[in-house]
Amino acid sequence: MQASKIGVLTVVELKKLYRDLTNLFVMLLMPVGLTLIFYLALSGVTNDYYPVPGMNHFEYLLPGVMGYSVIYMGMMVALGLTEYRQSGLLKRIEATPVTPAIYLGSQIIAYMIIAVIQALIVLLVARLLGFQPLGGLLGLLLASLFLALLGITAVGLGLITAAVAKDSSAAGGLAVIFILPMMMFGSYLAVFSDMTRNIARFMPNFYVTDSLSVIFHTGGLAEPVIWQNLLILAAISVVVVVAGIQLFKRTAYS
Amino acid sequence: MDRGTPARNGNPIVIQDLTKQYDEVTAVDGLNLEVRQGEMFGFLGPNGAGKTTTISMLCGLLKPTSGTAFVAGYDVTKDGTQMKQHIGVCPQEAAVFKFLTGRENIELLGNLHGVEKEVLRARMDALLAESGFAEAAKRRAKGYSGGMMRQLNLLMALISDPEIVFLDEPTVGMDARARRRTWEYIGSLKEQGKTVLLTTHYIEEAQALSDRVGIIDYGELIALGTPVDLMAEHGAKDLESVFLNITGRRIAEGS
Repeated sequence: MQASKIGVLTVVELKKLYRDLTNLFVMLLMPVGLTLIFYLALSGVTNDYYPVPGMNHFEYLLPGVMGYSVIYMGMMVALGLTEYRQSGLLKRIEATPVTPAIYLGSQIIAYMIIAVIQALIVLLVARLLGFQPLGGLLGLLLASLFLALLGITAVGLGLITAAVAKDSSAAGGLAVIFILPMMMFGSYLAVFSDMTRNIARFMPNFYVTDSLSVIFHTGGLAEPVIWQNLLILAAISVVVVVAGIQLFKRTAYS
Repeated sequence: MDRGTPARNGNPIVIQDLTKQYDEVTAVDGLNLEVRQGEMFGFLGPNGAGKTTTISMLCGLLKPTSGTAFVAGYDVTKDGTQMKQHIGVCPQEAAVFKFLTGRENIELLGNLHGVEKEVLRARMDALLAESGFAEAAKRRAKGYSGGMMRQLNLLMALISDPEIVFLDEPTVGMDARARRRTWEYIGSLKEQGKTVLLTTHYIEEAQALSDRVGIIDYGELIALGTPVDLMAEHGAKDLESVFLNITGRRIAEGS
């Protein structure tokens, strides 16, 4: 019975994403646009230190772009939940036999699905633009697992933001605080120096960028670094989402 | 339907010394009240008197600072999830999902209460037909007027066919015609044997609909009785005069 309620609430959240034009734009056009911009700007740039001969800078940064498209989910979660809180919808759901765990579980599932879809849109567009990812189907599944875990982390960060923010406009501003460093260090700057790489290790998406680079650029699925990154990311996602749920439960219905 | 402790004086809502304190402010102050089976109970008071805080505690949305309450026989502080199977709540805000149609909103609430699919469909059709909302319910709530949102808000509270209904300002923002129709509809809930706790700023609404009325001010219950008894007791021609008399006097005493 409780599982079916998670399903019902997940479908509602997915409907919100595809029925609202702004959400649809962020969900579909943002990853497409981001990929095209990176392709136009960087596909002509090459460098000797790239792991595959002939690889261009667009292809080199692509795993970072995929991770970046997922991080944005955190902002959408924060905006959505603060809006629900303001409109009284959270209280309405809380007054039914649905527990907060069921409700928040549906949020995690819905946004995890969207996160993986968004990142795969980036990969699909890149593929159409000539990128040849290695790793085969298994590599794709492994990459999806990384993206799903990053999606869970993003939802956790969104919950923390929604717990702290008083309204949706404050939530939008606060979300930038975690999005910006993740975007800069976790997605793009890690490659430039030891210092930026060390800072990037504090960003959850770094472990996605790093692993997806190995998967898609070398096809080395058995590389120990992938599994090491998977463990670290799984631990981060659990810590962040549990902290997010606890904080949000404390403030959501008051 | 199963219940927690059916004995609780046989009354579906029993409130015992219920208190809610926020820092220096006492929103609800040692409230004692019982609402009887099948009763339409008008819960009145000025803004900030403690009506919504009381309802929030009864619905398991807020933890009391002290005291307790039993709803459908369940202790609201301990058996909230079971208690919520028996209640329908129409909140003060028009809490609807705007990207869903009216039907989808109502269906969602039915699903969250665990109503069987076939029962839900039949009940929704009946509810929409009775309320005259069937056509509007096909459209997304985003395009609704404030009054239509309110109507939907109410229907969402009733789809689970609850034994106990909490209506917090259900007609605020409605035009006169919609309000009259909604009053009639709320009146029909009593005929269905439901116990209703209604808060409203329309005192004439409370007078017309309520079997008994409780007036709360500064978190304390300051009057309780049938509208007729309260009018007789205060020598007033209507309930509004009673309300103004009691709450106005307290303001004067406090100043």
